[in-house]
Amino acid sequence: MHEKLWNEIERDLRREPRMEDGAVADVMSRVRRPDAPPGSPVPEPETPPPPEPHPRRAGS
Amino acid sequence: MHPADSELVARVREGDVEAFAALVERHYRTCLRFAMRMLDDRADAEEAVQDAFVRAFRALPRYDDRNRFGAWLFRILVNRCRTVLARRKSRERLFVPLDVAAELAGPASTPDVEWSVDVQRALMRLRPALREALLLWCVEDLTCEEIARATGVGTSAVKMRVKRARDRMRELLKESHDAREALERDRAGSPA
Repeated sequence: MHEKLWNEIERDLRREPRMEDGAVADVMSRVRRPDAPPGSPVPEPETPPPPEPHPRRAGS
Repeated sequence: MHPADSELVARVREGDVEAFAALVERHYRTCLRFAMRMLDDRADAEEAVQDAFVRAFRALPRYDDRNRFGAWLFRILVNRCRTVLARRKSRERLFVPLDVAAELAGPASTPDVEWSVDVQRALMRLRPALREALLLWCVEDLTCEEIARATGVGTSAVKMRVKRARDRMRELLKESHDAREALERDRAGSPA
């Protein structure tokens, strides 16, 4: 029962969205632009921001 | 045969900017799926995904190709989604998950759409840290180590988050699942 329920949840979660026409072109036009778009400093993917505090600890 | 991600990355690093389009094409849909589930809003998700790709492109010189490109990309996307959620928290916006769920359900029958809405609603009731761990593990198939790198926590915390998230989702959706099964039984039993 548990597994059946989980399988149905997972099947739903795996549905893929449709892709808008021009999505790739939009990314590529930003990539080709030499200047950085506003508000996007060079990323530091190796250091993600800390996850939000646990509500129990944050609330106490 | 399609070139591997590592080959495309090498081409981009050698100056072939257009090779990046193939990487975007290949990974866009899964990134969008993750962002839509995390943010519960298509427009915000599209923006987060596009930002993630642009940032990935700029960070490619620092990309360590011992890691899978897809997992590295998710690391950037997780950050973008966290930023959107933090910004949103301050606006105290009210979310109605129907749009994302209905869209992801596609041309499904009404009970299927209702189930999808319930699944998305349950997902949004999880803490973001649990939500991202669940999606990265169960849907995007990242390894524990990759999720640990993407989220900035240890592998044991990742495992615990995935377990808690799955348990909570089952708990939240059991009633809805039982009702759905009862409906299916009724349908099967009733004459056409």
